[in-house]
Amino acid sequence: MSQDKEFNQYLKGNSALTQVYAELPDAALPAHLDAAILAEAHRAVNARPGAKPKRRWTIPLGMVATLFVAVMAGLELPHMLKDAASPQQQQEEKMAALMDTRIAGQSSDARETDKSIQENARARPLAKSEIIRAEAAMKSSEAGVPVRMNAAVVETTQKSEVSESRTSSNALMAPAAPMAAPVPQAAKPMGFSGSGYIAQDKVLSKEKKASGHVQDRLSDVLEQSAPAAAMMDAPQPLQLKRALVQPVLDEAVDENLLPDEWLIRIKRLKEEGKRDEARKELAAFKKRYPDRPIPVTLEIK
Amino acid sequence: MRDEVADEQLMERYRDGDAGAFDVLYHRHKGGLFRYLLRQCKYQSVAEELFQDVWSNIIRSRERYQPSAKFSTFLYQVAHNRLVDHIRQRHELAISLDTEDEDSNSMLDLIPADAGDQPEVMVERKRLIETLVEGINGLPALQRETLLLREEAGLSLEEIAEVTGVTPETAKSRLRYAVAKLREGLRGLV
Repeated sequence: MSQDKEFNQYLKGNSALTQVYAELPDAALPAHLDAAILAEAHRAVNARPGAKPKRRWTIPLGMVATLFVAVMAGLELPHMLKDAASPQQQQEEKMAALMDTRIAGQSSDARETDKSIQENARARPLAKSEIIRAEAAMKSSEAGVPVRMNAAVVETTQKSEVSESRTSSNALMAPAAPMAAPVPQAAKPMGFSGSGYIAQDKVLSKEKKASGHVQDRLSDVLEQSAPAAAMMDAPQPLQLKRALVQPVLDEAVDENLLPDEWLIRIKRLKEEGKRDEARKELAAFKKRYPDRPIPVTLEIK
Repeated sequence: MRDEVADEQLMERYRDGDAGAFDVLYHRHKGGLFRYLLRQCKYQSVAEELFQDVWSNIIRSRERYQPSAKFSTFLYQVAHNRLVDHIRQRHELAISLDTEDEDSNSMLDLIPADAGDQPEVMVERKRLIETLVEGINGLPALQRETLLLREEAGLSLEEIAEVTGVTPETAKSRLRYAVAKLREGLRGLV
């Protein structure tokens, strides 16, 4: 019983044995052992003594940031590809807008210059060589060769022009320098009007016999576009020719036709023997454009 | 001072990368662990080797540490296993603190001299400690280990049983016999 009592006292920490045990000398632990163990512990966590603990959220945060950037890039990529894929389309749109702006400015000037051109045309009909050169240029354009008609046409025109018509020629050429790719609307009011057409028609009638009906249409268009082509300083694309020819080839009577286009159409009807139809169109033309001079060749008796 | 931060929290912080937590933990337990090892080994050099191995195991196994167990239980379980491995390797079933070997230090040699004590008191005190040390050395290894786990690590009977892999009753029985033998040797001195 006394042993149990002593053992219980020992378990409680009140025995003499515990007190004597506490007096046992402390074991000396070498300092190098402390240093070695602590260094190993610090190496294990990849930190130096006194260093701050490693932040555990840096890796998840980095992953989230990377994922966010990737998702955003993925969302923006189709737009970027779309923008990068259509630079030509953008350029064409810009060119069209530029041309619209210039055409709007030129259309008002064109009417003023139209009269002086008519006078000039009366004095000097277009030479056949000019038309042939223009047609050759158009063929070259169709074959993909850049068209540069302005130099030849201007040169020919300047040689034959009288001194008083130089003013109107300069007025015509002035806006041409910055113009890169004129559209049909820009060329129509300048190239063909009034009695100038009368002189050109004589030449064209000979051409038609040789080259046929389609060629005739092209020549008509070239007549119309020759002054505009003279303004061109840049190569004409194939689309330009199509744009020029298409309104002429259109068989339907369009109220929105420009005067020159309308006259061409009347002329063609007359040549095709549709005199009644041509007469109606001419009457409509005169009604709509009472001040517009009518070529003599279009008068239908 | 021990109630500032629990051992388990320190070990968790160290597991999570806080090397400073290990420093606190190490300084808190290094003395008891080294005495536990030294008093079961014959040589101090062996005790130092075992001591370093135990802490290396703690460092390597930090990821597996579960705070459900007391850290001291975890630490002395590692030390117990390392000690058993050492005894099996060296066949050192009996541990002696006798020092004919210059590499080993007698516990009595480590007793600091107190200048204020009278010579008679110093002799009596030295004799008392010597008797206790002889009594510890004379204990069977299992009883000695149980006593050391109680005195050095401060483990309860249940924790001693967990460390040594026995039932609490067996641990209690071993400790009872150890205490009885030591008291028998110290009878008349205390």
